Amino acid sequence: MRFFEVAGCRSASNGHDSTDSQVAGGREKGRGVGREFGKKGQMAEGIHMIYRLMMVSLVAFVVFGAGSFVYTYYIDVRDVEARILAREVVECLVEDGVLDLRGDVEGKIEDCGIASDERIYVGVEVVDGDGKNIAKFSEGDSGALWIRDLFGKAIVTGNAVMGHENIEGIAMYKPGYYEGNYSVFVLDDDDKFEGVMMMEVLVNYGDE
Amino acid sequence: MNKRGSLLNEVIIHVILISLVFAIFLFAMAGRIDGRDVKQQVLEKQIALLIDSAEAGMSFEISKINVNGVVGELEIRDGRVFVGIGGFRSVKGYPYFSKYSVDVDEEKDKFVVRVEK
Repeated sequence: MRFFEVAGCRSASNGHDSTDSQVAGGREKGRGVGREFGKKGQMAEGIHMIYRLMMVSLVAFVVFGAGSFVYTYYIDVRDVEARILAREVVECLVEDGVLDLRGDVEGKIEDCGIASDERIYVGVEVVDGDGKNIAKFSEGDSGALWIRDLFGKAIVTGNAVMGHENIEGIAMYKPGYYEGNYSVFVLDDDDKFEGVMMMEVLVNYGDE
Repeated sequence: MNKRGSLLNEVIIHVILISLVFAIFLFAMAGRIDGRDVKQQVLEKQIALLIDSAEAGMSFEISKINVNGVVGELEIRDGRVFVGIGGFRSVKGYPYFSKYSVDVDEEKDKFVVRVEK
């Protein structure tokens, strides 16, 4: 403010009569310009403060985000679910040790109350004593088998699409799996004979 | 002295704002640090597995004061189990599969899950 007051006095003394009103006018003009610069300075300071806050928020976000990642733990119960589901389906399909394949077999699993769910896949294959295929039916998303195969290849060969070193990180997406064979009596249209019911159950990631 | 005073003002405001930002993030993280997420997962998945393997007519109780924390709410809806711990509600829940009808009754100090035909 002193500089502008001095400038006002100087201009007043350069060819004009240095009256009190002219000096006062110069001072007023100096104060006005000073105020303008003061306002601009405050605005710049405000913008600078916003920038600093954004940087601090970013740092806090990264630090606590990393902490959040470390403290997370996924409890995988899908293998257990697959076993339970297999038991439920077997108890439903096989009564007193007899698997009745008379009539329509396609909807047999759905009739057990296991509704078509994209998270679950149940596949049943029935063969006779010689290994000849008698019936094959399934319920659910069979595409999940591809995901399971992908994980299987990665573990065996270490050379799948995702790479062996990434298996730990994506293990939570590996589906729960159960495979079992059950000796049953098969009741077909023609007769009753001994056979084997091969069951495959897959339970996908369901935390969405 | 005016300059020093305004500088001190600025520094204090900055410190307060930065502390606020960190406090907000810390409170958001507090739930994860004390393992509330994991405890919630444990309860939800245990209950889902019990429902999966239950027969019609079975029921089981979950105490509100649990080793996994204080269970504030337990809901069964849309084929999923939701367990709220420590005043925080569950958002995702965990799915179960059952051909039976499942209901939850809240009592004074426990939740009772009933599996009916």
